[in-house]
Amino acid sequence: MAETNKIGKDIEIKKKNRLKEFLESEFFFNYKRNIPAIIGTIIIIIFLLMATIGPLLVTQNPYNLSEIQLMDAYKPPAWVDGGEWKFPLGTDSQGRDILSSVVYGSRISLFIGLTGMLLSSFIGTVLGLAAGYFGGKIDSFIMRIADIQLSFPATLIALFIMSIAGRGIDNLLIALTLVGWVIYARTVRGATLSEKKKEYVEAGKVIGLPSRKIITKHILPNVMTSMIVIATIQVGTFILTEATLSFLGVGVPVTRPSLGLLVKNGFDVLFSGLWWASTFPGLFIMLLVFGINMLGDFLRDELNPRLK
Amino acid sequence: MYKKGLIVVIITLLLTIAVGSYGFAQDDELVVGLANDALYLDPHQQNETTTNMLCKHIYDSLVNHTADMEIVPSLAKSWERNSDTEWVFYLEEGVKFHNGNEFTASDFKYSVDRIRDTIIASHVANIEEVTVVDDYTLKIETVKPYAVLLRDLQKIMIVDEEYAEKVGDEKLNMEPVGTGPYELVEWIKSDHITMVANEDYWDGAPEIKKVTFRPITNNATRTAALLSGDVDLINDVSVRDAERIASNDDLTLIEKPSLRLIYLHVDGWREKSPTIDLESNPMQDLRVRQAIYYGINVDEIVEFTMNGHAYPADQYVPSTLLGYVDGIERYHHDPEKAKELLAEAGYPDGFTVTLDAPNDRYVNDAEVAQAIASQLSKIGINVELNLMPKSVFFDYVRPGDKSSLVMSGWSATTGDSGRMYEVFLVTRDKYEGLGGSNRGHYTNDDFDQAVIASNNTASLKERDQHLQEATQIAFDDLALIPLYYQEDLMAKKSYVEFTPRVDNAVFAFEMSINK
Repeated sequence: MAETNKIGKDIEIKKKNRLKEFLESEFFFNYKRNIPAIIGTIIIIIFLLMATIGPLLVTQNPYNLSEIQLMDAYKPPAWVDGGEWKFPLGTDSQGRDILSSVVYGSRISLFIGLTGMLLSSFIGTVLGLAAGYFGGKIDSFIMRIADIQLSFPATLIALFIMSIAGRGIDNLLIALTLVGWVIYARTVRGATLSEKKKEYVEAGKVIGLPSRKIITKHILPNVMTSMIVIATIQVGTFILTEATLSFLGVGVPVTRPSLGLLVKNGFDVLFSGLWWASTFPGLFIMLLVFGINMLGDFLRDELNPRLK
Repeated sequence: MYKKGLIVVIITLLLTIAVGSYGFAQDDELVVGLANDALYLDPHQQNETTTNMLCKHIYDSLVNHTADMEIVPSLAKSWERNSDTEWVFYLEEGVKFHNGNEFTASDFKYSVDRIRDTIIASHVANIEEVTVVDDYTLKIETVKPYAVLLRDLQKIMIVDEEYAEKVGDEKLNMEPVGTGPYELVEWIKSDHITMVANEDYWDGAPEIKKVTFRPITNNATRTAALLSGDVDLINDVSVRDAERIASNDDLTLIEKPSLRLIYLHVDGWREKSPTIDLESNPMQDLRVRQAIYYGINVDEIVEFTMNGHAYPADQYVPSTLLGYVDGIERYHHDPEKAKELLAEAGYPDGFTVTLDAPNDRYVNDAEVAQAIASQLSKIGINVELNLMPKSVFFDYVRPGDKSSLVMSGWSATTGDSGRMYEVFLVTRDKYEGLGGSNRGHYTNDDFDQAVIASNNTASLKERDQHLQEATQIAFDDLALIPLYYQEDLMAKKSYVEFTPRVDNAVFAFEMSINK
């Protein structure tokens, strides 16, 4: 018993030290002084809160068709004549509360952005490590695919995939993963190539460690930093790509609007003076992507060895 | 030096603007913003409004509809009836196709035969035989006494036999040659169709010498194009923009009730429906179809989704057309009754079904479909939406094998309900040329016989009676659920002059510019 307690304590101390180490690090020192990065973090936290507990706070579940009333269609924001506080930011063509739709929509947008990033970073990293470490035919094969794919704009490829596969969140994730893996594969391959020649890898080889171990335990941690930067920025890019696809009508299903689809729905009547239906969702997309990019920029400056 | 450069730039800019505005000031050029592109410029490939409308610029028929849907002579200058089933047509002489070939009776015969193998075969289903008496005389034999042959002929556009045979379908579609008032200059799909006046047109060259049709599918963009002066005329004005355009002095808003019915096609006559995951198809039960009708609040859709620019439909054709039955009452929204009917039919908890609808064909179609889904969810019917662009939609729903509920529209441009019933409601695959788009697989022998009888009479009055009978049967069965008639909204610069047509077509050859 005493023994386990002691180990537990050790871990705790170790944890505390880690936290302390982090708080005293140069990284955190710079972060504290980087106002855009802090603003970015705050925005992201607000969106995360909105996505997690927001649905409990808003008045309507816009995805539940039986909760929405056509009679409420195109109510203006509350502070405009004819508006009601029941719909603080107004309603859309179906009588959906814009605020509730934005809350539910950012949930979908964040989910798609984050999941898409995780999937494509996983696939991209695995392929990049394999290409960089083993080289030869595997390398040429993977990198040629990447080159071909890079010669087309990402949105175009995603549009193509969505047009064939049809609307739906699952299809969106597949499309985003297929366009998103390339950047990881290329970056990770480059980093792996340079790490591979270093002494610690050679040493590992000499003592007979299996390739799998060398890759996962030794090379991967050293290529991680560049990935983190890409990943952060990519969440923002994916949210925008999803918005673009939904705006073009091939993204999420119409009854479960994401931010991009909300903008599209509102855009159809923007010109007719019903500005709120697309303006607010648009502002929220902008804010979210702005926050992510602020933090991403800071991470790039901090973690990219070339900029130091 | 720098200043000189600047002056040159400014002068160039001014010149560009001057030349540019001169371009706009042409008095015989018209740019039209259309909500849709043509699907084909081969007039025999698809019976679709925009396609027909644009083809009518390039091709002629034997007879034409006036703006009020009266039949007037076109390539046939006169005709007579020898018997109940035999008609003789005397054709205009000396009419030339755009390629210089002369139009003769055999071109018409060829066009009819060509249509027989296409999906618009119903246009010629009532024609038994076309006989070429001589170059300018035709004899048409109908299958049975048929009162509205002329309305069918109005739809049969005539291609040049020699040209069509020589170039084949593909080229005929992209480089059409007809006898019509305009010749195609260029068709860039989804971007523009440019036509110039046929100066040798047999009926006199049109006043507008050059017309460009630009498909602008987005409502807001189309309105913006009109406001900014990029186009002179737009059709299908967004119901949200109507007031804004009406209050603009330079623009004229044209509003009028349309012949276009928006309706639901219900798959109620098959054991199993493709999108309903139940052992048997609940919509076979009349009570379920009634519940769906009671569950839809048409008035609310008209008021909120259509912004008041539509008219609730009480049956399948407006009161001015043949086949309208006095006294049919539409079902008014009654969710309680709908739930009761569902419970009686054995579906107290409703069921899930997919609604297929286009999202770029009819006014606010996607939004209406969503509104229906939302309204039906309140009586327990969970509606999944399958919204498609029209280029996919019509091919998707036509065979009817993938659909349970279809929202679509029909414009009774032939002036009565007969064609609609033939295409949508006569039993599928039973009678030649009929029931081709029976997406609900409706089958009722009394109905079929009434429709067929309406085609077998030479008297319009009898035809009306048969069609009324058919309307009553189909409405009692709820073979289709009628929703509303659209209002046609068009907007033009005030200097464009024309008489609005009942069928809402934009015909450049009927227009003039008066600046």
